[in-house]
Amino acid sequence: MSVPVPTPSPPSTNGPLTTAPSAPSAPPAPTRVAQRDGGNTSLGTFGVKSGLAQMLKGGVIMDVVNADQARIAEEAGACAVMALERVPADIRAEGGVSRMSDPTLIKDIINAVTIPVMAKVRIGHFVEAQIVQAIGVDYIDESEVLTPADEDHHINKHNYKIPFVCGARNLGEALRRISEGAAFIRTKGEAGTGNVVEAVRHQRAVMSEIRKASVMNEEELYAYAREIQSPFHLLKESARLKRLPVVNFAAGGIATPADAALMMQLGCDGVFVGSGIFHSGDPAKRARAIVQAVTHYNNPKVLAEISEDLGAPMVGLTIDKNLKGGRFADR
Amino acid sequence: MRPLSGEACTTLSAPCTRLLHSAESTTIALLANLAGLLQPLREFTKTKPVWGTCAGAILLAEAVENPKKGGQELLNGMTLTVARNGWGPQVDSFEAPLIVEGLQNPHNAFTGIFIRAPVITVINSSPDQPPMRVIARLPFGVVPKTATTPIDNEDDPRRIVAVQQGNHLLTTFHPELTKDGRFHEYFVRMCVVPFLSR
Repeated sequence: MSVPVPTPSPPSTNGPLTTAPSAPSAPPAPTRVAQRDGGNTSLGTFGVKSGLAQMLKGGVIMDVVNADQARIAEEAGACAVMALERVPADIRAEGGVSRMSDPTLIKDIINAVTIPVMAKVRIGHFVEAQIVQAIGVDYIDESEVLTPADEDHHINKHNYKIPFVCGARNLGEALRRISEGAAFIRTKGEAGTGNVVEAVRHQRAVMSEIRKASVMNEEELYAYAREIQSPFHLLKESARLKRLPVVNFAAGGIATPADAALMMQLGCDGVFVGSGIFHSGDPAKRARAIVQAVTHYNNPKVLAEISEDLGAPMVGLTIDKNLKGGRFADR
Repeated sequence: MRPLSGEACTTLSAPCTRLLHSAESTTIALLANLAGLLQPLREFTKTKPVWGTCAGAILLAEAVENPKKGGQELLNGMTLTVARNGWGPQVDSFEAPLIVEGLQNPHNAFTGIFIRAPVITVINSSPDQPPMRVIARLPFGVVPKTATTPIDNEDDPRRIVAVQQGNHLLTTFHPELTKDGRFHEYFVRMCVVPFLSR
């Protein structure tokens, strides 16, 4: 099976293709992978990995802890669900080490819905990532919400056939994750707080650094790459595109349709909602309202209509030095 | 041409043609329904050129296998049946070179990017519908994960990845993710121009 070395650049498919499809006379092989060889196809290219993130644009990804919640999310119009054992607010409240979910739980959720299913693994825990890939999950979140397994290294994400999403607080962090193979970036925000202030800070930081880089000449870009500790070629590409070279979602503290629309107007491509939905009074209604808010984020009239009568939102937390569970974003 | 996805879209006025590009077919149908666009889209699809890729291909079909629980809305634009997620989960998503009939430079393979792609399972040709024109098939060895029977027939619908019926075009892969514009040119030349000059 030919798996080309993935490169962290947008898919370019105009290259010359020198190999022709195999002759129709090839007998069907016993396993599908072998058959794929016969068909001259490539699995897990950066094109199919970043392509899935492109398909999620303009959508909402919801944290769910069981199959029933996953069904509610799908019916509400979620473009994907994130399977996990405890939502971030509970991780914060209960403390302890939080790890990858039980594979049984993830499989139940995969069987319950037809939309893509994501799962979280600990930062640097490449074996949890191998396991999650083997289960048949569609996307991995290498997440600061779980307790980090490695304080110095992230997972080498090029080695996997399924794509990764990673959190970032600024442009340098985002581009480092992309160079490690992330096909999708989200703000870190401060998960489990229901407080959008950190997500806003991170998204504004990324956008402002890109705007700054976009007017720099090459010499200045070299110096800037060193300053923000980012790979030069990815910084140059972001400066040229005036945005991150991969899809960029908001996450960490989004609790209302207005929060979701705020993040969209700040330049995000979509939104993750964690504790905000299933810790609120009427999850199904709030979930649908947030989906609509991301679609109609520029239309205050529609936003007003969908914000009406949603029941109690999740209780929010102030982010200061007394924050229970500490700051996940610093992980 | 105006792409339609899960993005904001509240009217269906002026354009004479539509691209149903991808996202999740369930999300697109739900949002279209909430915005009151599902019926107008069906009316639009009855007469005007439409191109559906991947999730858009599902919407364009007349029936779907493996829908979300409780079923899902379709536009009923082409007389064929598709199976959602026919290739399995993301780990089985792939790229494959395709030889496409009727593209410019037809001997130059077109890179098909298949992401959780649907599989065509039934083609219904009836005399009162425009003929189905198959323009691309997968190489013989490539078989969907969900296939319970082997594909040993040259005409097996599960090998079909691009098909045109009248002024409708369906691709189960994503030409819009490549920088290769030949499929766009094909759609304008084969579906839109004949419609406008009618």
